[in-house]
Formats: sequence, structure tokens, C-alpha cells
Amino acid sequence: MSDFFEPNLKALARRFPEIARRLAFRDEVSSDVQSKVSSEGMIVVVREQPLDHPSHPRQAAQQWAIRACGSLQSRGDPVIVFGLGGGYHLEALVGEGVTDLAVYEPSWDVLRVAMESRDLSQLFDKLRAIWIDEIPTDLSGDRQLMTRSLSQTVFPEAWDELRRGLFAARGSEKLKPSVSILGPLQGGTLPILSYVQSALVRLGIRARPLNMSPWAAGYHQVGSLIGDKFRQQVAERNYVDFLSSVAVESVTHRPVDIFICLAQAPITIKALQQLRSMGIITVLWFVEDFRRFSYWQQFAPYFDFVFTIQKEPCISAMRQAGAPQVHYLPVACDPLVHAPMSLTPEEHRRWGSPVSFVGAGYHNRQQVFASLSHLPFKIWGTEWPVSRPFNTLVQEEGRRLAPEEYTKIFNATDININLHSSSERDGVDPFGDFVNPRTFELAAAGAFQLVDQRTLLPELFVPGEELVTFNSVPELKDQVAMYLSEPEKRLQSVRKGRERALNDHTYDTRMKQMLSVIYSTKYDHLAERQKNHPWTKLLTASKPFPELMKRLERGYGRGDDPSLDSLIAEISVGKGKLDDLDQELLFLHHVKQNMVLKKPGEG
Amino acid sequence: MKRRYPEKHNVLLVNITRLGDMLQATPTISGIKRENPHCRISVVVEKQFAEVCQWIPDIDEVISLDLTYVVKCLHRDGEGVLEAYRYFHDFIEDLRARKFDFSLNMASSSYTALILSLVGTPRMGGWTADEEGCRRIESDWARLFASSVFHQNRHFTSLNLVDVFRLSADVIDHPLNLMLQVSEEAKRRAQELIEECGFTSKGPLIAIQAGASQAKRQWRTEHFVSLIKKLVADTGARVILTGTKSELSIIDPIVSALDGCFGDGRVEVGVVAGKTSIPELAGVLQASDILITGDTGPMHIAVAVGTPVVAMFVASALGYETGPYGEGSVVVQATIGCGPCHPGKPCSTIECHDLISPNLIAELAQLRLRGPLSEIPRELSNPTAYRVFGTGFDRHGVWKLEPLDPFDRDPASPYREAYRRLWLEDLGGFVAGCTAKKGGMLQKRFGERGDPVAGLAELEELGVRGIDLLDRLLEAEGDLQVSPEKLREIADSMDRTDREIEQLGYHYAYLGLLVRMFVFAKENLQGYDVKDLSSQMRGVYEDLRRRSGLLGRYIHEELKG
Repeated sequence: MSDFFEPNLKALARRFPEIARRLAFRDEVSSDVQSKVSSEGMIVVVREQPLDHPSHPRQAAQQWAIRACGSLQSRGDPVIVFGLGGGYHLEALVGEGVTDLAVYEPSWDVLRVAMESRDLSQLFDKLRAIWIDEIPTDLSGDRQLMTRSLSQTVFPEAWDELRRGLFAARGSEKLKPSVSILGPLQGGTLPILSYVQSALVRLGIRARPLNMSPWAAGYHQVGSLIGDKFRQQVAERNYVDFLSSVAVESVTHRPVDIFICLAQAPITIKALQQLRSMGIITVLWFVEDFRRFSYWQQFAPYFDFVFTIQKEPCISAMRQAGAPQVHYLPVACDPLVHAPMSLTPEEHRRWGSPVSFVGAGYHNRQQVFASLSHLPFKIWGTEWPVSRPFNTLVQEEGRRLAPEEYTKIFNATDININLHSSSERDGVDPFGDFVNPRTFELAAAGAFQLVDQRTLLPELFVPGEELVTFNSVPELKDQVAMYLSEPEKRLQSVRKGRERALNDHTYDTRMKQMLSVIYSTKYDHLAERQKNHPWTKLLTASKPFPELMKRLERGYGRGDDPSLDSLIAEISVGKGKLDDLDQELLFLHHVKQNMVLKKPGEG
Repeated sequence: MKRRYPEKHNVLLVNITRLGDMLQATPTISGIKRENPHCRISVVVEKQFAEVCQWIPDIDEVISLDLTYVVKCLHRDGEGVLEAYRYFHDFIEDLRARKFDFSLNMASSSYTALILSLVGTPRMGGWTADEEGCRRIESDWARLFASSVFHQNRHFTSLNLVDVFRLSADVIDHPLNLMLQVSEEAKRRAQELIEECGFTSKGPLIAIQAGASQAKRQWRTEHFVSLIKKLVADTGARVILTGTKSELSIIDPIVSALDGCFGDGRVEVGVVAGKTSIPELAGVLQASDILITGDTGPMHIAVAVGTPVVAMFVASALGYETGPYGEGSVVVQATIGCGPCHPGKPCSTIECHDLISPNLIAELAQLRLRGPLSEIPRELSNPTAYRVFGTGFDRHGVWKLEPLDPFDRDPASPYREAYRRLWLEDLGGFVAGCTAKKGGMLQKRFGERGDPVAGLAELEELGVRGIDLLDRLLEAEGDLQVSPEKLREIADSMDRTDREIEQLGYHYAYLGLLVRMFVFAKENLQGYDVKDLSSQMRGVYEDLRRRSGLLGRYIHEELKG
């Protein structure tokens, strides 16, 4: 033990007790990390690579600090330095007058060796924060990143992670991109469109849904008019091509910064290329089983970001197909839709049952639920056989339900069965990985669910505590029988499941996660677009008119376009006194509506 | 005369629409000045018409509003919105600083109404907006304007909009024509343009304005060609074609069709369209002996410079509303079941154009060239196709159309005359009297079951019922013991009464104007105090009752002669 370590540890404990406590437990240092002598003091070396200047660490640090401070607007700006090294550069920054100084060091061993090699006690007193080996969760406050290239060379991945974290935090604070979300024509993904849009709006993002579901009838009409399969496919492709051009036209007319496609959204490669050429960031949230569909293989390279509800091997397959960035992002719940409800006796009669299932009639579900037909069991959803036993189980002729309706079913049911779909296997899919939306929605609705085990489920909900899982059909039957006879046992997992869903699994959270990923690599691009965005210019220019500016800010917050329509939106004629600003804006509105631009001389 | 605000010191007139509208405002402007010689008159006009205002007498200041700039900014969105806002905000601040004591909106658009509301002068006339942004029409005369242009009521109006506006500004003493000054320079330039045509004959100079503001008001090319041929053949006329540059697309085919028609070396037709500024056009029209035109801006210019006009009113144009405001002009109104049609609706057949023949217009022009008309010859009479009127003024200086066809029996005429008398007497306080000539025919077209005033007694009765309900309501409002049920019952009865009144207006076409006045008056009750509002509403029912009685009496008098 050196003479420096104990006084340094005391100083560290005074300022950062948790770091000191954890360091005290780590007395083994890798042989990769050592100290060496230089003409100006000890330096730290990792795998023979010095983290400080090998001969003049103090002098080099001084020059580096002067250079680095050139990027600061004031010495009071918050700074985070990547790499502790021997601490010379941090001392130099303090010497330059930097007052809000934090440091991130990826290696505990570097911290220890540095503390054994030099007196850092005064430096620790001057630091605002120190993080070792863990990227700080709170990087808000617009911290300037200062990088020691010697540390960056040794720990490139950690440096990249910190940089991304910083930009993600900075983006969340400073960026307000406008987003379009392209939904599918039909199917279970459709409601996600509105959940995503609502979540983005709640986050203060201007979000515009492109709801393509009204075009679904046209798509089906193609099939009904053209018998030949090949010709039908050609016509369907043309139809998608048209819808795709409508989507592009929409964002050309009202430009956006980020274009999110949900799985099965009608978009073509040509359209994605056009969007990119406009500087729009293209995103795919593939909320489907990547094994069931293959179209992503052609599309992957044309999305700047792909988010999937599966991990490996899905992520590798997507990267292999050319997607530049692939990230795991499970689906979630919308607490405003999926919530506990008070139902009337009539609603209970209509929607309720001791046991229910909501979803489409996939192969494995038909197999399993036929065996539950002896139970008081209601099935809701499409694509179910009309033969026995389903003719009595399936409700309301197997029509498609609105989210508000199936939330009523969740609330009116004692036991909601949630069996993930499989087109290939009978019963419970033993290799099933992703978690379906129903899992989150049932939990948020405060409904009791029995859900089949999925490999990705335990990291989202604690099985047995926050929900109840089954691995096989016999197990499902046993659990149904048990929970029907002991209703009080259902309560605990319901409460905890709801808490977990609301805390961790809302679309608000997912959108934050998605945007953080986007900001981490596209911050500069989005910041530049924002700087040149008409809203930014309009808000800046409106400063001489504070009342108008407030109204513009509200329109901006609502996600409106920077237009007169946004300003007019808040005015209700005949519903209370209008102020001067209201009347001035109404004037402009009427002029715009009624005036046709005339050439001079036209009377 | 009944007048609300006869005295004016610092007046703001808002008239930002078209050239014709600006000219039609001139009797009001000059009238205000005559009655208040020391007052200052400022006029807000659209920038492109600001120049014209230099030539209009009695305007002290022209304030131009560049709406083209505003619209261009707004269509840019983003910063454009702010630019438009800043421009208009400064514009309003500037107007407020001038401390006007009276403002009059001479247009009927929602945006000009907001200008008045924002400027907030102590006294206002015409369209404005209340503090909640709803339309508010100041004065009965302005409401009469709104009721008259309500499409189904147009058959029953005989008051020129120039007079309705004038009276809404409380102006009695006024010039009996539109006003436009023509400078010596404009006159000289006009003479040069006429000379440049190189006419070879010495006949009367006849100006023809072929272009119209709407496609459906555009008389056919072949009609103009026939008209010009006849005028040249009959009178040796020098025909000069006026218009804007954009109207050359209408004029060129006419000129081409006439090419070579008059023999070698003869020049009978000249074109000044696209070559004249508005003062120069006024100079050309002043130099002309007559103008043949539709309902156009040049028609108003001609009247303003004292040139007689033969004006065709087809499609949506109605001579009674916007005919040439001066004495001695001739108005030809096409008679067709669908006319006057709605200005906003297109027409693919425009049969009304063919009801007016080139021969008729040529004959009328020749007659008018000889002097003012008091009657047309029998051979020109064809009231099933058109009606011919002369323009003039009654003894109160109110413009009117006098039928020039002694064989014309217009079934709407007694109703129109009765309404004219009603408004002049009831709103204006004039003594109008019966206008019918002895031996008039009894017309029943607008009544029912042989009763020419069917529905009118019911309307009067509903007015009485409304008064009674309001009396009960006013009594109940002072009674602390009154039950909510009773108040609700009165309110429901009023609602039913109002609905029945409106239904009568739709059922009997001739009652539409009276009922619309009632509706607009009800819409314009002001304030929040229940008692005050009830008193105002009582007055509205009282007006309806009184006017129903008067109208019935006047219609009978007009019918009997």
C-alpha cells in the first residue's frame, strides 16, 4: 500500500462515500494497469499504453486544458471528462478555473492505481461528480464532454457509450423533432399507431399519425376484383406504391424530422429513399415476430434505425440484412386506454366471464382452447372457426374489437388467458421469445392474466409476483381451476403487475427510449434541422410580441405546424370575450380564407 | 329623417374591396362632407385601389392596406405569419392613434368588420364584430342591406345599395351621382388614345365595355359583333372598346370578327383596352357619347363622369341593387325564372344572355343618344324576355328605376314598391307615399288562395304574441317568487314563436325580407343584462308587428293603385 492511497481514500469518502466504499472492497488490481515514473511525477499505464503524457504529464495536461477550455462559453459550464488517468488534466482544468467538473472513468483499477500513485485528495474536493465503470443515468444539464484521447484509445467502447448517453440526454432536453408515424392498413398493430402518437405528444413532441386503415377496404377490393393471383399481387403492389406516395407527399407538404413506420406499414423502398433524401430519419418499429415475416430483409438497409421486440438472433439477422442500427424495444401499454374501469351490471353481463381470451384464432390457440370448452369461457376476436366448440365460445360473431372494448373485457373477466400466437406449434411455444402487447395491456388494466412463458418475459415482469405464467396446457388448466376457486390469490399479482406496467412499460417510456437511441447518433443532424426549422425562426422572431409568442409556444407544444391555423385553434367565436390578439388573428384568418390574390388592374 | 349620428368630426370609412365599390361610396363621402364641412374623412382601401382615391373628391386621407402582401405572407406560413401579424398590428395601432369619432364599414366582409371592432371608435356603422367576435350589424339600414342581398329576397328590393349605405351613414344631403375627378392630363391622354384609333367616320363615339367580372355575366362575342355592326351601319358610330389588359382575350376575337366588315380603308372600331390607367379610362368615357356595358366598374366610372349608360343586367346582376347611380341611364334586365341567380353559383347554359338581343341594345343606344328616355317604342317591348328601365331619383334624392315599357306588368313590382315605401318611411322617416298608377292590375303571384298578402296577418299576430311573451318575461324577471318552470315555459314559447316567424318567411317569398330584418335585429341584441336584453327583444317584436301592418297596407294600396 502506498503512502498516498489512505489519504486519497479518506478524501474520496468525504466527497463520494459510495465510490470510496466500493473501491475499498476491490483490493485486487489487474496486472494490465500499472503506474510508471515520469519526469513530472507518476503516470498510469494500461496494457503498456500510458493514460498520461509519458514524460511531461503536467505540462501536456496544461496545454490540453487550455485547448479544451476554448470550447467553453464560460468557466462555469458543466464539464464531464472522459478518463481519470493520473488526474493531471483534471488538476489543469481546475487551474484554468473550471468549476463544474465531473469525471467518468471506465476502470476501477485505473482509479485505484492513480490513488496509489499521486496525492489526489485536493482534486477530489474540487470534483462535482465521479462515475466509475457505470455510465451515469442522469446526464442532463448540457454537460460538455472533454475527451482525453489517451483514455479514449484504451477504452473506445466506453467512450462511445458515454458520448451516446450525453447526446441522448441533451437531445431529450433540447430537441423537439416533429415525427410522423405510418400505421399499417389493418391488424393488431393498428392501435399502436395512436398509442405512439399520444405518447409522443405527452412528451412534447409534435407527432402526426398517418392512419392508413381507411385504405384497407381498397386493398381488399383488389383481391375481390382480380382473380388471378399474380395479377392480384401486381395490383396490390401498385396500391401500396400509391399509398406510399401519399405518405411521402404528406411529409413533403408538412415536413417532419423523423418518420416512424410500424410493422406492415404500406411503404416502398423508393419512398424510404425519398424520405432520406429529404434529410428525414427513417425508423422501423418491427412489432412482429421476425420469423413469421420476411419483408424486413429487403427493407432493413433503408431504415436508419430498426427497433425490434426480439433480441438475438433477430438483431443479428436484421444487421446482416443491412440495417445500420438495430435495437431491442418491446411493446407496452397506454395507461389512458388500458386502465381499471367501473362497469355497469349490463356491461358486466355483456363483456364479463370467469375465463376469457381476446385475440385472433391462430393454430395453437385453437388447439388449446378447444380443450377448455367445458369452462365458462368466452373468446373474443377474429379468425376463429365457426364450427364446434368455437361456435358457442366465440362472442359477437368474431368481430374486430376496439381497444376500449377489450379493456372492458379485461376488467369484466376473472381470469384472462394470454396465450402468445403460433402458426406452427401446438399449445405453448417452447421457443417463444417476444412479449405481446396483451401482456402489458392486461397488467395496466389491473386484470388478472395467465400468460405463457416467454424467454424475454422475466426481464419485463417477475413471473409469480407480477403476473402468473404457465409452460404447458396441463399447467394452464390446473392454474385456471386453482385461481377460479381461490379468487383472493389473484389480487397480489394484479396490483404488482399494474405497478410494474405503469412504471416501466408505457408507450411514453418506450418513446423516450427510442428517441434516446436516435438522439445518441443523430443529435447534430436534428439540432441543425431544428435550428433551421420554421418554428424556431418564428418563435425567435415573435419575441417583441409576448402574448403572441406564448400562443405560438402552445401551438408548438401541441405539435401544430407553424401556421396561422395553429394560432386560430384556440379562438372560439361566440364563447366569451376575445382580446385584441384574438381579433387580429381572426382578421388574418378571414383574409386568408376570403382573399384571392389578384393581379394589379383587376377590378 | 331618423338619424343616429348626424354630426361627425373625424370619420373613418373602410372600403377595401373593389373599384366599383369605391365609386359607389362617393355619394356617401361627399354627403358626409356636405353635412359636416369641417370634418376630416379618412378612407381605408386595399393598396391597389389607393391611387383611384386621389380622384375621388372630399377624401382627406387615403390609408392603404396591403392585403396582397398579407395574403402572400400568410401563405408562406412560419415567419410569414408573424410578418402578416406585425403589419396588421401596426396598421391597427396607427388607426387607433388617429382617434376617429365615427367609423363606417362600407363592405360586408368579416375581416373589415374586425377592423372596426379593433379600432373601437365611439360610434360605428355597418358591419362590425362584438366582443365575442360575432357579427354585429350596426343600424337598421345596414341590416336592410344584409337582408336585401340575402338571395331569396333580391326580387323585392328596389333601393340601390349606394343609398342603403348612404342612409346607414345618416347622410341625407348628397350628390345625385357618383363622383370621380378627371385631370386635364388624363383628359388629354384620353383624347390622344381616341385619335390614335384613327377613326375615319365622324359619328357618335360609343364606348363598349365587353369584359365582365364573372364568366356567367359575359355576353357572347357574336352578340358584341352584331351590336357593333348595327351601330356602325345605323349611326356611323365610332366604337371604342375599353377594358383591362386581361380583357383583351375577350376583345381580340370581337375585333378579329369585325375585320374587313366595314369596307376598305374604313376604321370604325378602336381598342383602348389595356392602354389606360383608371383616370385615362375615365377620360375616354367622359369623351364618349354613351357607354354600352354590363354591371361593371367602367359603368360606375361613366356615371361618375356624366356619360349616359345602356347597361345590361344578366345572370346574377340586378339593376335595382347596383344599377348606374345617376339620372338618365338605361337599364336592361333579363327576365328569366332563375334570375337573378346566386352570384356564387356557376351556370353552364346562361340562356338569359340570349334574351337580350344586339338589335335591342343598338336601338336603345340610338334612342338614348337622342336624349333621355321616358318610354320605349311598343316594338321594343317584350317583358317576358327583358325589362327596360330609366334611372332617376325620387323627391328625397333616393335613386330609383322607372319602367320605360308601358306594357310591362311586373308581378313583383307592387311588393317592391310597398317595401320601398316601408323602409323609407319606417327606417328613414321620409314620407314616401303610394307610387302605383291608376288602373294597375291586381297581382297575386306572391300571395296564396287569392290573397295577395297571405301570411302577413299571421306574421303580425306572431309579433303581437312575441310582445306579450316579453311583457310576461319582464314581469317575471321582477318577481322573486317566479318558478323556473314558468321562465322555461316563456322561453320555449318564444322559441316556438321565432321558429314560426322564420317558417313564414321561407313559405311566402315576399315575407322573406321582413323576416330577415327580424332575424338580424334579434342577432344584434347587445349586452348581458337580462332585463335590458328583454326590453330590446320586445322592441324587435314591436318592429315586426308594426312593419307587418304597414307592409300589408302598402301592398294593398300599390295593388289597387
